[in-house]
Amino acid sequence: MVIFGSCVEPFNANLSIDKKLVVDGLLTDQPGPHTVRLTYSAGTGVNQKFNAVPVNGAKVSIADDTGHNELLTEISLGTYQTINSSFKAEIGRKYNVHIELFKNNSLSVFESTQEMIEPSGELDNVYFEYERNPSGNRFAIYVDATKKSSTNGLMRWRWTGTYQITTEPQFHIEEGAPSPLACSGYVRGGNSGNSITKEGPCTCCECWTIEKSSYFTIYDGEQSIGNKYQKILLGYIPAIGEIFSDKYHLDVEQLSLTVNAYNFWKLAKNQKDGTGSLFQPASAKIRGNIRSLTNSNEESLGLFTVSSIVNKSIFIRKEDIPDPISYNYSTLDCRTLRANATTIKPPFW
Amino acid sequence: MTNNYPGLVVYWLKETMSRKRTTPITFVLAFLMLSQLLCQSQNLLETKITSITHEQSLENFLIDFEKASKVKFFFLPEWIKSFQVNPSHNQKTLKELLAGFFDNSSISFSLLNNYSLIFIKDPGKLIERERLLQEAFTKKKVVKRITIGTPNVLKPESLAFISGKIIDLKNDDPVIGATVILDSGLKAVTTDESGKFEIVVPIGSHIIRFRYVNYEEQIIDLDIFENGVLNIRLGETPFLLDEIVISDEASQDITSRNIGLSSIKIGEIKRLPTFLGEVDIIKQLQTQAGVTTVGEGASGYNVRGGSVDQNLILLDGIPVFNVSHVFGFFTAFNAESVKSVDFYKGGIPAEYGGKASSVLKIVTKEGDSDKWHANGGVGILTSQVTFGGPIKKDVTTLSASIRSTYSDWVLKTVSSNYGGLRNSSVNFYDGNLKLAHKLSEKSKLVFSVYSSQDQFRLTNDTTYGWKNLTASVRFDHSFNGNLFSSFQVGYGQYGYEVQDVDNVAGFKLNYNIKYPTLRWDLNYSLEKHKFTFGWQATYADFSPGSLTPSQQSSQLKAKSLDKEIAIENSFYVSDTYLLKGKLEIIAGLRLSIFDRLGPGKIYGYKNNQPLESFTRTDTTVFKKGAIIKEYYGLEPRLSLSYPVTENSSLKASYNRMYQYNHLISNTASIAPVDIWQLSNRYIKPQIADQFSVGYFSNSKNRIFETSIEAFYKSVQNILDYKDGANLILNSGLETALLSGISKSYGVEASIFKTKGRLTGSLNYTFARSLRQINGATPIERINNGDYYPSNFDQPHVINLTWKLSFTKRLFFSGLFTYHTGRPVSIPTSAYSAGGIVVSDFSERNQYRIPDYHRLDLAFIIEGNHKRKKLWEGSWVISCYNFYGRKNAFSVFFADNNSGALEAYKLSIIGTIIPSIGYNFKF
Repeated sequence: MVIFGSCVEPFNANLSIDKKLVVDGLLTDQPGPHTVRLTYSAGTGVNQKFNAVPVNGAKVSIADDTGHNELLTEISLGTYQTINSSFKAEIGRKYNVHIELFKNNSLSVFESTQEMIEPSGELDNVYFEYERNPSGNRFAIYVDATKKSSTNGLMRWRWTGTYQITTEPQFHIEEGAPSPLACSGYVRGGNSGNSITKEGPCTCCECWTIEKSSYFTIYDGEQSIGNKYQKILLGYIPAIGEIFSDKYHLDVEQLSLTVNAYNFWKLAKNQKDGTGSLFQPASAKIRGNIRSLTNSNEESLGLFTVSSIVNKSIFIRKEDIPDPISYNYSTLDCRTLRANATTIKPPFW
Repeated sequence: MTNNYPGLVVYWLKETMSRKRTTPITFVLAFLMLSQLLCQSQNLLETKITSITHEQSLENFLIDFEKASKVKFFFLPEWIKSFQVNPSHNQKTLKELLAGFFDNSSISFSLLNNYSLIFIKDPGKLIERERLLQEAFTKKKVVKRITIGTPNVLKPESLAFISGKIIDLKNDDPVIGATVILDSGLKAVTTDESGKFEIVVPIGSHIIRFRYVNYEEQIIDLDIFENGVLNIRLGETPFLLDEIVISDEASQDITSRNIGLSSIKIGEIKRLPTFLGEVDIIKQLQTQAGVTTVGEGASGYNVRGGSVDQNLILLDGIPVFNVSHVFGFFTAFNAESVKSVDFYKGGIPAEYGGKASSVLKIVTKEGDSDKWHANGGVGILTSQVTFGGPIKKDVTTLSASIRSTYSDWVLKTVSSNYGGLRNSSVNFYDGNLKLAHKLSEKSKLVFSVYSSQDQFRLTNDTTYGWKNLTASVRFDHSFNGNLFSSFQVGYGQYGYEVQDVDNVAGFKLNYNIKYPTLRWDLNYSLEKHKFTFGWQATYADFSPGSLTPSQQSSQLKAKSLDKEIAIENSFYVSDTYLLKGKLEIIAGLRLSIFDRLGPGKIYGYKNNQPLESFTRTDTTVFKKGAIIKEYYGLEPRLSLSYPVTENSSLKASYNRMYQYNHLISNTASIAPVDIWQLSNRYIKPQIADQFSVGYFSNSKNRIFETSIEAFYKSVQNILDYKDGANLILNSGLETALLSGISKSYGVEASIFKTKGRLTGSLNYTFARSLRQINGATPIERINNGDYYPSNFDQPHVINLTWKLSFTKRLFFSGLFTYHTGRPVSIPTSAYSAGGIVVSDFSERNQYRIPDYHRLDLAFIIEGNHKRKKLWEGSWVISCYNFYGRKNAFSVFFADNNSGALEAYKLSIIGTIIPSIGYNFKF
């Protein structure tokens, strides 16, 4: 009898966690407000959703290379925004963030490196391909892009999807008997009958919900020919009835990246995509671009960066799915099905 | 005299008995009859003196005595000039007279053949000689008595020159590197490439021992009076049958010339505990001071703080890239097929090069030229069979061995199903074939092939496979007595394949390297110099990876990297020189030239910016055969050995090594998807400089042997991966790598007990292995450019091995090993940025996994030790990891459902692993 008895146990290295300041800021060439979030890093627990500790009461400002200083206002705990709506990044300018806060009753000053905003290039094409997959058929989303000559060509894409949820709340059943929801516009007909009668319009049968890409794509132009980036995969959208009751609106944003931001997101992506898989390099420390001016030994985390943004939207229609799809209609209020579902029809729909 | 120096009694006795004595048994009987014999013998020394008439010098008296009888005295007048005889000495025996003068002096005397009396200045030597003889007899070793020349020509204090050759008893091959030890090891030489040796000895009586790893020691009781020739035939130690363990195996430290060289005894390995019953050369290597491993399931080994790719492993002269089965659980050489193993961790001779840290030279067995033999073993995991013999007697011999797993049932019985381990499968084999053909007395042709293959399926989907192949033809020729040549044409190949059969993402990753080699090694001996010189060339043909879809339905895009070609040429010369009979110097120089050849393309990068794919400027395309980049370097080697006293010596060495191919890995050990990268414009050769000094000493009775060595090694241009770099199928690998320096230093202390029922060794090493990557920009630095511990930095290492003989056939052996846990980088906290949770990792290698320690035990029961039986068998019962420690092998990270990463440690072996094996031979 041979037993290897290999085993996996949490590795307890007796860590002493010191709170480090985390900066999460993005300034773009789009109209504001632009946001800088300040938090402290924290330990994590198994199965505990990570909650960052906000840093309030700090003085946060963004400076450009002409000497202009834009002060940010704390609009909620740890979230600082620009107030001046005309303030935005200008291509070719350099920006950095300056933070002053009291930590243990002494003033700490942090600053990011100066980041130069590069043009984002062109987002030439957003398109999709249908894929049959044993774990569920899906659409693969691709973009073609063109980098602007003489830029570093580093890009990041993120997307927002909008789709319609359709429900039939009039068929709601409680304790074996029809019980239309009030918002359906229907009422139960009579005391004994099982019939329902329409009395007004339905106000909870059609909702729209948005979803942000759960992961992001970055690209450094490797293996592209010239300035053309071809068929960059952004992710997948499941081809299921719950999403394709009608059509799917996809808005893709293309952000130019500074070298510091690219290196940051590359390592962050590496962590997210999973370590230990065959093609993935080992995870490692992610170095941001924030440093302390008052204590050079004090480590700070995160990134303040600048991006130029272009975007493009497309629709994927139900008819684009070549296979039959099924959908089990819900009899609930459509607004309760997704956290951010709304009955307000988006203007582009 | 006799009271003070009992050894001499034995000597006299031997004089009287030696003509008759042939076997140790009769000697032992004779020894018991000692007193009787002494009384009976009509000894010259018992002659009564009557002739002294007046006071005269002892010298004149002896001259007169010579004239009056048929006696010869051998002495130097100055030894005895202070002594006078007078008539009062009459009626004494000659012995009493001389004893009166020389008792408690440094002069002794010895009777030879009852007619010559030799005066000896240093009785200690004589006593030591007697002790050696007595020890040999009690150990039932065969001692041959040889006389060269006649005593008539004896001139005390003059020197005689012995030359000779040591050949293998079975196949008449020269035995290379055998040790010839004079007396107690005061002086030792080793045989050269043609098995020859030369040694200068004072005229008189000496014990000369001829010794070679895995061979039976030969002892010659020599009386030498003039220059002569000694040709010796050494036979291999019988398989697990060396009746008495050779008592002084570790005195190789004292007597072998090279600091940092050790030879491994195959017979001893077989008596140590094993993992699943597999006798393992590399595991044995890891019990030596200065050699470490990062744990179970880790291929390769680290020598003196060097990385795993810095070890040159030569199998019959051809480098082997991956020497592991099943990710390093086993070594891919069958110990049964191995004739000798030499290991250099320092003082590396000029004939070896191409790797920065160490040399492991493995030579496989040749068949017996006399008759056929076979042996085999049945273990839990594998079976092996080895056979060999003459195809044509004394001309052509064959030796072959094969080892293979039966099936993958072992994994099926694994209790834990972590990672689908129970759905895994493992298969491997290795085999050797060696054919030797004697063309003439002076030349020989040897053909050797080695092949190994592995298939390992971790889950139901992914299969890892890798294989080695080496083949060579060697032509040995001895031109005249002094010049020996060995010319070899070889071919090596290493490759791996990873296959995944997933319908959507199924892929096949292939990697293959081929390296034909040529080498011509020459040996030229002069009286005081021994020159070795030669030329070695390797053509490297690397296919660094291709990825293809494995399934029709796979969505994967095929990708393939261009071939890489290079030629490495080396020329070397080395001289071994004995200075004034004491200080031995081996000085060598090696010139290595590396040419990276086209076809190929090299990217250009913006000046003063980190190498990144987005800082590329252009691509230079090179035609076939064009030189893309050339590197060359001179590699001086120096090794000194100075005997401080009879039982101790001081040694020192320096060597510089160039390494032109690099293992690119972000794991600590050799993994089956690692990349070997040839040097190019950006990846410079690693240059290692190592200094070492050592003091080696034997206890007076030679029960204990101790050594202490210190080393310092620095390597330039070592490579480490950039944080988060993707290494696989990266066509511009330089963008994923950073270059820096490493330094390692340490002290190694070893003690061996080499005699008695309990033998063993204990060693302790303190060593550090540090790296510094300090590039021009922050992204090109690791840990801000500070020194950081390497992945395999294990400051404290303790190894203990022992073997206790209950009887001649029953042994209890064990191995205990301890080392500091290796460094890792782990996530320490988490934060949120850009809408995602990011883990904050520690600086690289700032934490350590728990310390590693393990105890293995084994019982060995051997069959009876009669030499002439047809079948010999032995049982080995092993317990690996006796107290079932869950030693951590590595740390990996997984999302702990908080969005952040958590560190987990993986213990590959968490319980005791018993096994049983049976070996046979006929």
